[in-house]
Amino acid sequence: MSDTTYDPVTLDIIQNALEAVADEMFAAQRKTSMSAIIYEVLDLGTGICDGKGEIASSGAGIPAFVGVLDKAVKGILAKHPIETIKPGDMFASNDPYWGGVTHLNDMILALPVFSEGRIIAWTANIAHWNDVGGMVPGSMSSDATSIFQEGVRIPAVKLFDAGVANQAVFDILYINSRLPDYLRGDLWAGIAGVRIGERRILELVEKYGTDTFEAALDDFMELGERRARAALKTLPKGVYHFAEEQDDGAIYKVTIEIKDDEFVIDLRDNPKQSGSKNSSREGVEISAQLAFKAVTDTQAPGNGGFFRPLRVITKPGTIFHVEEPGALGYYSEVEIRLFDLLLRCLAPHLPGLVPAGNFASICGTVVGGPHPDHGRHYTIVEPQLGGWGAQQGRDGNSAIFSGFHGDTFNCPAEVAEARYGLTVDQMALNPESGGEGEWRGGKGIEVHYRVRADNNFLSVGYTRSRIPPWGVAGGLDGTPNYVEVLRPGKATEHYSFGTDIPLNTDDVVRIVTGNGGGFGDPKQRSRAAIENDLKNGYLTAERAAEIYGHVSGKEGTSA
Amino acid sequence: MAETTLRVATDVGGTFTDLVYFETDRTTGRQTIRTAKSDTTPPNFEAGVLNVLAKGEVDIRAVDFFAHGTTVVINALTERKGAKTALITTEGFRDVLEIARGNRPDFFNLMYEKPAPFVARHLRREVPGRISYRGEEKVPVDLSVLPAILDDFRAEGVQAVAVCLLHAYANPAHEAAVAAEVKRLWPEVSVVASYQITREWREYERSNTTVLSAYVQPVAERYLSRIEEGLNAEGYKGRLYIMQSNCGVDSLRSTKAIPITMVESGPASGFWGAAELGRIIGEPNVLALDIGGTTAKCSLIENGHVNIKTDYWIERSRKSSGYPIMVPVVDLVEIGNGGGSIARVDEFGKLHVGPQSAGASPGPAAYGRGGTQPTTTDANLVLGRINRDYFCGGEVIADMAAVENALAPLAEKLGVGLVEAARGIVRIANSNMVNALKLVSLNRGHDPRDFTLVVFGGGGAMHGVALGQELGVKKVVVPRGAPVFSAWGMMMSDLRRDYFVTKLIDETDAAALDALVGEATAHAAGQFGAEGVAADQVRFKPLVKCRYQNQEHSVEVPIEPGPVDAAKMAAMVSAFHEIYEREYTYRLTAPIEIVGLHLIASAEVGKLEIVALPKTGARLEDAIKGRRSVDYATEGVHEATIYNAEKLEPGMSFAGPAIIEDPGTTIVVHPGNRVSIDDFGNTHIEIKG
Repeated sequence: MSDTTYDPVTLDIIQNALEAVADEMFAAQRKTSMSAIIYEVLDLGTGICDGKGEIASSGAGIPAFVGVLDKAVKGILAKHPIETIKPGDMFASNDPYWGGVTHLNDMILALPVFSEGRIIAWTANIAHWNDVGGMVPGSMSSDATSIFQEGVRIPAVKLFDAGVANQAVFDILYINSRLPDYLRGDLWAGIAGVRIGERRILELVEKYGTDTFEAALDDFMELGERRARAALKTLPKGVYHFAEEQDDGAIYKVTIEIKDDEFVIDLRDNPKQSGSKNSSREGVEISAQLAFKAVTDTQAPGNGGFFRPLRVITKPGTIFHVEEPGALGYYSEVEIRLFDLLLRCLAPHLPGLVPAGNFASICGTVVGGPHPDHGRHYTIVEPQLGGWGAQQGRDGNSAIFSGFHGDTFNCPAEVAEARYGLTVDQMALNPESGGEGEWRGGKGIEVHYRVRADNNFLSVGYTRSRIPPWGVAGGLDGTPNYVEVLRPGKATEHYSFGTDIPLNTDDVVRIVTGNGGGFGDPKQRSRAAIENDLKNGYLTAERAAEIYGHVSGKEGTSA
Repeated sequence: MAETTLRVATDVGGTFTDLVYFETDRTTGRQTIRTAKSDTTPPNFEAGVLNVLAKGEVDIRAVDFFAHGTTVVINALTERKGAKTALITTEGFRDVLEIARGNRPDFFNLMYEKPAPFVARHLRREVPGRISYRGEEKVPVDLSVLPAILDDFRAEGVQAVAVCLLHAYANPAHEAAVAAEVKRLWPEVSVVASYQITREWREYERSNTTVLSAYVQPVAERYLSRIEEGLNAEGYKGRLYIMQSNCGVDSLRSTKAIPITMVESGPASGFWGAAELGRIIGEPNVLALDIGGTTAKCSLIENGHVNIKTDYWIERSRKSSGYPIMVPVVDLVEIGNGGGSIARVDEFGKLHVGPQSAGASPGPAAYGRGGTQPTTTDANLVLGRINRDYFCGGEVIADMAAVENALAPLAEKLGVGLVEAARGIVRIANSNMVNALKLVSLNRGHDPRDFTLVVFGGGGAMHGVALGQELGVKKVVVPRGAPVFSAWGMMMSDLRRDYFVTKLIDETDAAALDALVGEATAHAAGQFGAEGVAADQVRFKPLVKCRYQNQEHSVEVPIEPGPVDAAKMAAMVSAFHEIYEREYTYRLTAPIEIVGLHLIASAEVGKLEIVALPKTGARLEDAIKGRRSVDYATEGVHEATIYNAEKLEPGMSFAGPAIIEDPGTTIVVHPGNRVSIDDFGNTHIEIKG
């Protein structure tokens, strides 16, 4: 680099423009995607990386995807010598062992942007595809033990080579999916997205020059780093340990050391990899990044520079650093368990920065089968809403997606009934007791799907199903996440994980997600707040007497 | 027969009530325009309207067309000053209003606070009964639960009841029955059912829309009645038209029934004005930008058509999910960036402009009313873009010492001089506005190079050329009377209604589409007929909402009004592929499906025909006020010629660098620009000289 000095306002303007470009990529891909999980649930992320693959800006979507794209681009750069990458190339990657980070359902597309003969940036996106083959419809199985059971592997290959489509890759993708039409539509939506990003970046380069553009990226990374380091300085220094029992009895352990200039997360002492509940090391870094961001500076740019003070130590062969050919279908539950573990470890030491525990599971729910009205196959792939923990001064949020999701939208009952042919019997807040405190946890949901045809199936992956969301400072624990299947005349079936559970006409899937943990001693809750809860049916009179010692003058309205 | 036609528009804002008055001499075609301003007079708003009419010397008995715009609805919502509202919904779904969609735009922030619903849980009650998505009754509605529910509502002091049942968009029978029963049991209460507002699916959006409509209904109805009574008492005999969010006006009666449709009427009239201006000057593709004191709003007009959508949210931002209102609203983007926006340097040395604003009080530092933080207006003064000796049309003496005091700390933090700091403020403000303009153009798949940028509001002309250059638009146009452009747009509006209906139809089922278009058209014609507008006066424009099967977001494909046969269907399908590809860069061989209809019905109701201004033969030299040094930021400092806008007339043209000063606004013309004044007094600025 030369010692040119750049006008700071110009750099700001380029940085603002980069965020606008990532947003435009997001808008374009969202609008054209074919699968509800992309356009409605927004299981989608877009971003711009610098030439070396550091994330510079990202479009809205889910925060757990923000840190994926840089790692994927670095995976591409590790595999492909730089001199073999040409203008007009576009890469596809879904394999966590080749930089794909998450699981085979998530396809990453990345396009190198060239100027003056070198790669100055990458535009990239990631989206969840409904079905990429493998042993079960929807590709994610809780029974899988190896990645070969989870679908087609695309190990950072060229989808386009110097502008020419690599038709073989397209054909392989189409033939391996149970839902090739969806896959085709979603693939082309992704291609349009990275191309729009490239066009916009080239416009910026043309206007401001390649050097200035690159200087703006470097400056943006430095800004991120400065903001992270400034926030780090305000945190209490120390070494914090925490161990937590999981639903299956396993113990997860973490040690976090907060230093003046470093935030170190040590995860070496954890269970060996097994089944499909494993995460790649890169995936674990994302959980660490989200926790780090949440307790430092949530409004700073979440770019590569911001995460420089963060160091994560893992041990290969453990659930937090899976080795080939371990399965990763439910990687997301491992990542979110870790995210929650980190927050729980920090909560007592960082008052005012971390609320009490939330339902903390993606609660991935897959329902599929023939549509009763026209017979075409449908598949729902959806995360669930749940209750969030209380915080000092405020009750928790009710019915909101997990900390891994962001601007993600649930599916309206009216749309679900038309598109899937199910009857949604109810969409309500979870009435179970739990999560009381001076401030109480928010409510989870209770949704009933009634199946209208035979030969449907259900797959679920819920954690926090036995060990409930945690209270803080004397607040009570919340309630667990689970699914029940109610069949006419049969005993109720209870699930947290399950694959390909058969469903037939009039079977009801009862989805229940947790109420969040409470904050502070319930005895300190104000009488007005208790009476308001009673009046609105958030609390029963019996529970009010039991937990709050509250005896109501008159009966409140109950649900 | 009078020899003149009188048209009046009044616009009630938070502080002022504005009047624009057009008198057209029917013999000569000569038009006289008057404007007036008086204080807004809450809660007796009609007094302010009558005051401004008196001040403008309007003989109300002779007025032929009266349009009225008001912020009463949006104010009631943002200030939470509506009625105590309850909701009746389908059994199993009372929590939909609280569950909402579960999204969290501020996604790294775990301390996020979800917006609270407008109706508390104990006032959300359920009735048994189910309609399927195809509109068939599955379980009959049970009205027997209503008396007990209404007793509870009365005891709680409820003033308005919203009714929203599942799939009422497909079949409103249950909703209509519930609403009628509520009305029968409790005639005094205000009731609104979702089907009266929208026929689109998504129960949360529809429920929230119905609730917010019920919430503002009593206050809006009272407001409109008092305006009407006030005007009638003064002898007004004509019809009163109310500005709507869909760029049209609607009758008083219809607006009283569903006042929520006024929610964004303020910006809508300006954007409609821009569309009409585009039509008059032969520029059908317009990017419209309205820069006020606190915010800037923009919208895109393609081929003369404003884009009307039902995807509108209040209080939505990167920090909050906000509240949806599913009514026809002009597609606009608003950002917190106006003339009064405050500039600051954060602790990491980054310069920001807005969204905090100095407002009307204390206002920019230059007002000398105690403002200590630098604003965009202050920066424009420092750079000589605004004339410090003609500030606010000469009504205010610019306090340049206060400006320098406000700017100095900011400059010091940036490590630059005052001028460089002022340039930075203007450039960042422009960058914010350019990104907003990109959201309505590039992010919607349009190329700004195909568009003319029309700028208005007090600050539009100041920044318009810089923004136009950045975006690469064809040219920039500043309308005559840019500061009162919104009222002008109201004068140009048609009686217009946008009907949105959700209905899933197969691409081969021409009969079903024919039925849908036929029913919607008949319904619209019936509504217009009930207000005395003959069927042959109503123009219909059906837009079919289509998508590839299994997609979510649809594009609108226009078809000719009238019956739909197989050939028309096939033409529509092939047009779909073209429109889709233009917007999204590719097309698929997948089957397509129709998801509904957007029908625009409109009729002219005394719209103003603009006539050319006379040419007096005045000389351009007489319009020159002088020359001064103006800082064009990245383009450097230039000696600019200063023109008096009031002395410019059609046919005049000149080159930049120049400044055109009008009492209400300042047009900044950059070096290399070419300016010409058109027949109607609008200023056209060609970017490349």
